[in-house]
Amino acid sequence: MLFNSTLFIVFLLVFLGIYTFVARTRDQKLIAITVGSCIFYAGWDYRFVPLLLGTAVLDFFLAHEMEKQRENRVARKRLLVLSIVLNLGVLFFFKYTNFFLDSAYGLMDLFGMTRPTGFLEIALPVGISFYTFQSMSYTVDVYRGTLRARERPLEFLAGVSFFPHLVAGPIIRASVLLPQFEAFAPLPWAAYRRGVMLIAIGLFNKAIADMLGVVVDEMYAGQGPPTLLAAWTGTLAFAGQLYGDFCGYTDIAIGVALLLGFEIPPNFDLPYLSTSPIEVWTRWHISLSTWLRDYVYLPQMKRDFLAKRKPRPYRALFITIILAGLWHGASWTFVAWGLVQGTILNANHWLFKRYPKLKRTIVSGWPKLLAIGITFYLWLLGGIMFRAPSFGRTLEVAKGMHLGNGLGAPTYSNLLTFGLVVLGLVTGHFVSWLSNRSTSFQTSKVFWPALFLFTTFAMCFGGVSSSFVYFAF
Amino acid sequence: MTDQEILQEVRTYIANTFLDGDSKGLDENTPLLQTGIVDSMGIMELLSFIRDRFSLDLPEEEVRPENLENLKVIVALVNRFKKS
Repeated sequence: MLFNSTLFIVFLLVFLGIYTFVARTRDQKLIAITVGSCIFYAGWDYRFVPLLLGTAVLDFFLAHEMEKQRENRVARKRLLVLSIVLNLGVLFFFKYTNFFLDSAYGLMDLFGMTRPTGFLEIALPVGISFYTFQSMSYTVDVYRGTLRARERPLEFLAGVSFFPHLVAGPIIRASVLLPQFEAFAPLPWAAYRRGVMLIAIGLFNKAIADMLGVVVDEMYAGQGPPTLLAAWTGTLAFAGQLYGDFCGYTDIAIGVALLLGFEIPPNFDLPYLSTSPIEVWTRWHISLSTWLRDYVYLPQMKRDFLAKRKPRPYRALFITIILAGLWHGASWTFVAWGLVQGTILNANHWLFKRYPKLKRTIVSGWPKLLAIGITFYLWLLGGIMFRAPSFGRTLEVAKGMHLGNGLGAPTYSNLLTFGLVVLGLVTGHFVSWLSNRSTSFQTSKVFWPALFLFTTFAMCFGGVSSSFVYFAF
Repeated sequence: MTDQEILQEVRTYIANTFLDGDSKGLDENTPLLQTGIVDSMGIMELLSFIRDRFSLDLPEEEVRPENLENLKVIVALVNRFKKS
């Protein structure tokens, strides 16, 4: 059930009706959320609903048991390890079995060995990377003592399955959502208005993404190396598509959550205006980068800290980013993407450490513009690896961007496409800027015309029920 | 050591380590993580400094970024875990 489909609009309206007028008590509302979320998830594939609930129930009981063993550190650690092994085991089985089997088959082919028969292709449950991380972080937080395990499973089940963020994030930690599900404090009227506007903006950004997606698909499906103009058009279009698609999805998720009375923290903060790759990761998919920081990167550093050993931040960062690459997709191109991003980020940290003045220089004026340009250029290069179907195509497009395949003969049509791609890219960020950083949309004079404009644009130009890029993760 | 002295020491350390010696605009409420003054790599570096300089007995669960939110929070952390 896609956010940009008629089916979802019908689902949302019916759900809002039941949630507001039928479910009166807090428990009834929590049950409504859980059941509604299961129906929403079953819309993708009903076979995986037990997996979703099973993951949540398991973590709930492990955390509950941990709380009972508060004084027994060894028992708590065992329960934590069990939670991590089971969660990652499920994720590994569904997401990475095919990948490792394919890689093993590739090696067997290389050595002229016969492939075994009888293996099944394993279907990927949508959103598994998101809800597994979410559910697992609950047991980690309870183990660390930063969160108390809950007595009742209802709030936790509703939190993990909460449909606005179920299939593509943001990854919301239990510490953010559980207190809201326990309090059920009504939000001010302005929050509901903001929710409606965010849904419209999300659909608008998604429509832009769909339009740019046509250009991207054409370039990546093309035969032979692209020319300079074609390569830049396609690469810029992908940057716009990825932002519009994922930020659009997140805006809709936050908007729907607001309509139900819950606040989800922002997941994007104008990432393409970042002045360094380090900054990009504090402004792009914020919920994933902070999750990786707190549950993958810092624990590695913490071990050294507690043992009073010399910290190894570059190694820890490298491992974290490679895992982030694999989290995005089970393929070697994503591993390579992680390697490149890890190298870029480490180089960036080294530069800032070696030349601390640099960090202070790029905060304004032309150094800032230059820094934004370089950062965006590196992002575009990373984007090629992210999108290209193979290493071969990655190299072809990268070569094309650097005049490796000639300038090409720019026609009016090609130049117009390039111009429209840039316009789409800029518009996506401009609308997000208006929404996040300015108060324009709060006044009725702007609110209603903007709402009309965004929804009309989305209806006219958005792809009908076109899928979201991040659903594949 | 008074709160003011702790604050001043940490402030000087942050300025020298992360801001090229420039502590302008760095007050007790300045968000250190949110503004990127202390990035992910700096978190453990700063915690190590605080632990060693003020001889803290930091339990494992307190080794977390939230304890470095701003200078005020850091001073509170130092006061809570100073070895008696």
